[in-house]
Amino acid sequence: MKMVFTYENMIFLLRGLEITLIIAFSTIALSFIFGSILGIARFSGKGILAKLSAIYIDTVRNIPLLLFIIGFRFTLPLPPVASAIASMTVFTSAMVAEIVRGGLHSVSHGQWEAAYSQGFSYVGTMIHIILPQAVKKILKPLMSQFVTAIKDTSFCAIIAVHELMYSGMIVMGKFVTSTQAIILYALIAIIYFTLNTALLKLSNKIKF
Amino acid sequence: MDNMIEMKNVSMSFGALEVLKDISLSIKRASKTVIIGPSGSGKSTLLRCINLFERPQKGKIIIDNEEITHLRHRDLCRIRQSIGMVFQAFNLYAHKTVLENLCMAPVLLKKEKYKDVKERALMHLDQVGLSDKIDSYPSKLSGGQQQRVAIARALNMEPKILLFDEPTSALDPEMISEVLNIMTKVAQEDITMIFVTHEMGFASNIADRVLFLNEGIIAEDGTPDEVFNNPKNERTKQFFSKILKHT
Ligand SMILES: Nc1ncnc2c1ncn2[C@@H]1O[C@H](COP(=O)(O)OP(=O)(O)OP(=O)(O)O)[C@@H](O)[C@H]1O
Ligand SMILES: [Mg+2]
Repeated sequence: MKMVFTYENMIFLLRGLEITLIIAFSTIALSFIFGSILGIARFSGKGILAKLSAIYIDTVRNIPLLLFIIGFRFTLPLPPVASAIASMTVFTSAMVAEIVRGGLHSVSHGQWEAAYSQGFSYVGTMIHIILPQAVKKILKPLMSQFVTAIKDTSFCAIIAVHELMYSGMIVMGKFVTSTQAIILYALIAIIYFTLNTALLKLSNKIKF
Repeated sequence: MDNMIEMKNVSMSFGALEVLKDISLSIKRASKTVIIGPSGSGKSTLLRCINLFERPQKGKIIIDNEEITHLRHRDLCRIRQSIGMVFQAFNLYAHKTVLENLCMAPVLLKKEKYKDVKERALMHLDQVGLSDKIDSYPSKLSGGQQQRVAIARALNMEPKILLFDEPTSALDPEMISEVLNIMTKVAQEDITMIFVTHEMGFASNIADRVLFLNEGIIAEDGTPDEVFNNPKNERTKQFFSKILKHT
């Protein structure tokens, strides 16, 4: 037991957690921006932009995240953490885009007609009528996508990024008994669980 | 010219289906017109051509002496500010309170002062008997109340034209009369109004003119008395005998 909860091990895991948080929240912030743009572009229907968004979204959504993480690391001249953020952002943006598009579609056609009949333009209708209503419907699935993104950072262990999972695996190397291994994995599970539960609790507090 | 709306040789098709067939029509300033006709005859399409919700493939639409058929999107938005529309499904902005529903467009689009717009909104809400609901959200209102708010919202834009597309068709029977009463009151205003409705009593009360639309053609055009009591057209007679049987 003593071997697991040593000061050094805990500090090492905390450093891992720090990297996990950096990757996760960078991914979340960037995906929110790019995903919203992609989702709105695809929703808006006509034009090259919409077509390109659709191709991007449908392609990325059908390829496993792990392939992006590994592929980016071995093809792009980026340091490990940046490469992890880039690949996860490419993937998560496509997910966010579909959530945003779904939210926009869920606002009834009558809302558009009412706004147009009063003289709102397409952009004005989007900003004042449609997006505020879509946001409410988007919030829950978006948060659950962000929780998924936090969990998915553990895949970055495969490219030796020192996030929580990889740090755990390194600590594991020092152990001899399976009890120690089980305790360590349980500890890591509890950390992910606490982090994600806290995020979901927080998002439930957001009210419109 | 004292015509508020003119349609000249307007034809409109959806794919192969020709819905409006060479319609020419002049609507006098401040007049009240009721359009009736069987389902699918093109009533909604005709109404939606007036604010260019539908773009006819042929013909001209002239609003207050300005041709709008070829306007750019931006100018069209400006024209629509003066053409109010009341929908069958009310379509109140679901995320806004009653008062906000009335004030949004005048403030954002017509750039009026909020204070003035609000004052006018309170007046219109009083007119439709909903002064006590200004802070309610649409989902908390009955269908009849929502439609009265929708009418007040349209009025609060101070439109030249008001279009009603079956405003009572989605309502429970007990709410129809409260909305018809408000519409009768609103019909006293100096605004050019067109109603698509099957409420014959209401039509007789307020209409200067009744049009009977059949398969995309105006088959009957006259005063309520002329059209209801002495229809020229065989199809019109059939339609009325059916409606009377059902009510
Ligand atoms: N956007 C559209 N695309 C294709 N067809 C349409 C469209 N809008 C209307 N139509 C068709 O055009 C015809 C006329 O429709 P319209 O809605 O004008 O009839 P209406 O007289 O208002 O009927 P109702 O009493 O049922 O409302 C119908 O056959 C309808 O199916
Ligand atoms: Mg109709």
